[in-house]
Amino acid sequence: MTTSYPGRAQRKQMPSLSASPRARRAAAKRRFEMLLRMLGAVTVLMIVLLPLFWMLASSFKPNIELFQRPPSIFTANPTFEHYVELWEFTSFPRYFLNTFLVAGISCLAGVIISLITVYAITRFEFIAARVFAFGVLIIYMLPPILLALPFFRIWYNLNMLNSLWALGITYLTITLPFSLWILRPYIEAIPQALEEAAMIDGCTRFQAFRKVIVPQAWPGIVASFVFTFVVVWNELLYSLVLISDEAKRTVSLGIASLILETSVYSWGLVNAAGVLATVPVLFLFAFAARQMVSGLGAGAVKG
Amino acid sequence: MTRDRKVGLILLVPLIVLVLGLTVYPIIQVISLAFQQQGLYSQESTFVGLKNFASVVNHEGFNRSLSNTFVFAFGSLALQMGIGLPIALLLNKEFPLRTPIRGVMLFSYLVPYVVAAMTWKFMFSDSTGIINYWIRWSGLPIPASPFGSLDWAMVGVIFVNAWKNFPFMVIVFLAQLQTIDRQLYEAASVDGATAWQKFYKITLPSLLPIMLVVGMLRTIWNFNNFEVVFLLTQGGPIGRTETLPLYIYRFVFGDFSLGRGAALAVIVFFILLVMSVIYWRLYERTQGRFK
Repeated sequence: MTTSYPGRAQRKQMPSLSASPRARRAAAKRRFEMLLRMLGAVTVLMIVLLPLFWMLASSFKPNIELFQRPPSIFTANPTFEHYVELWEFTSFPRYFLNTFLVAGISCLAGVIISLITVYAITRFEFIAARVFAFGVLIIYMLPPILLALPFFRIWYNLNMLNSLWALGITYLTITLPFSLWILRPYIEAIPQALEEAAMIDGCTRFQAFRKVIVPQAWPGIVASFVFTFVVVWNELLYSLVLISDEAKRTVSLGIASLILETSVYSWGLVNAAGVLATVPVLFLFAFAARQMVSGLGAGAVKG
Repeated sequence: MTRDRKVGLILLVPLIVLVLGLTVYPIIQVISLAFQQQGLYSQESTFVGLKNFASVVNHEGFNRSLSNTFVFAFGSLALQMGIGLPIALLLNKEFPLRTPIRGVMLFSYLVPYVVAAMTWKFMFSDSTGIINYWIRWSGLPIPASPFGSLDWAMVGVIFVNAWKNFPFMVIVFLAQLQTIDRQLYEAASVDGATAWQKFYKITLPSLLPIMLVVGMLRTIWNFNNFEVVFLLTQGGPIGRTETLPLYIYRFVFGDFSLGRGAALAVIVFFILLVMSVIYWRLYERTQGRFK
């Protein structure tokens, strides 16, 4: 994401107290522009961070202060009571486990199948890339609500509503298109000569795949896994439709139920749950920011 | 070579099986459900021809939710681009801490929809919300709790959808901005072009193709979006924000009429198919121009 500008170094070397008034005016103008940019950046940060900051601050407030008018920004008596309540008196620990399980199943399966498929397509070329790309695109565009109806019916007929396995398999419709899109450029970039050399040296095709393709495509593999994990972690509609058993809820569904089912909800509890649902996502982002940014733009810009 | 082709075919089997099972079969099923009278939990179904389509199209809520969907999809798109483009231009400039700010800017795109909806609902809520309090305190002519207001609920859901998704625009625009040759700007400066002329003659033309493509993609995603409206207003007050995905959800899981819900879903699918074809054409055209 970063680009270095050759102009920067020169500008810094230029003495700020140069003789001519024209140069001084230009320097003042540049400083003013820089100030404007900083102000703009602060505004952007405020827009993005205000709700998240408010959620974090509120999750530590005692119940009385949550309803205080005017609202206090920082609490004088921070408390962990909402987190304790969430951990001990609700099923949220269970929801976290469920979501990790479901996201793990569908993302791992999605990445493995995509890896095999992209490999086959780029190395054996019997499906025109155009058909492949268009097909994936169509899946990508399908309204989730359109698929949710038949999936409800299918899992109902198989008596697998409320099954986390069924939910995980259903999530493949989300994870597969993403990981296919993300992985393709990585695998296309690996020169075929590299594998051929390995095979001439006596590797089988599978060994060549494992020892050449997998390590070379590793950044792409990480990118698809991390990105699809976040998408599944955040998903709501399929879990809303397929899961009605309280013990099988995902985190998103658990929070949605807190918001929707009770009219007078405990905002402290909801905020604490929101904070905990956000932590894994931001953690993954901190861990693989560069790969995730490449994933975010993948569907739109890369062909 | 023939043995190689066989290996390749075998490697494609898992994907083909999954696409058949998880996409083709469900689509066939939903299309066939659309022609049947079918309760959500009942096993028996009867073929009713086009009756489901007729009944959903003539239902009083159909036109309303169709127009709501277009307002929501294009309103969100306009706001997402309106916020995204200036921010992309800003973040393309040079200033201290630019890289971390670019990262933090993505947070709203990364957090779950439930978190986005919950925090905004909380901040606008009557008894606890800080923005609600600020609006009341400042006396601005906007409602302090927009999600319950007849005229402002749609503005509210569009706003939250834009807040959630504008970073996508920024990423795509930034990627494109970085491909513009800096010498073009230098040449323009030498010729005495103003900042506005440089934007209008260099920046905008090179962004336009990607704007078309991303705009189409985002329109389709906004069109399909269920979470934002469902969590903030559930389509209310009195249907003012009910979009097609919510309308389908209400038919199926509120009225237990799977057949009519399926008919509606098929209609939505065809609207989106037309949009996808347009998207694909635009995409290929821009690709061709820049090769």
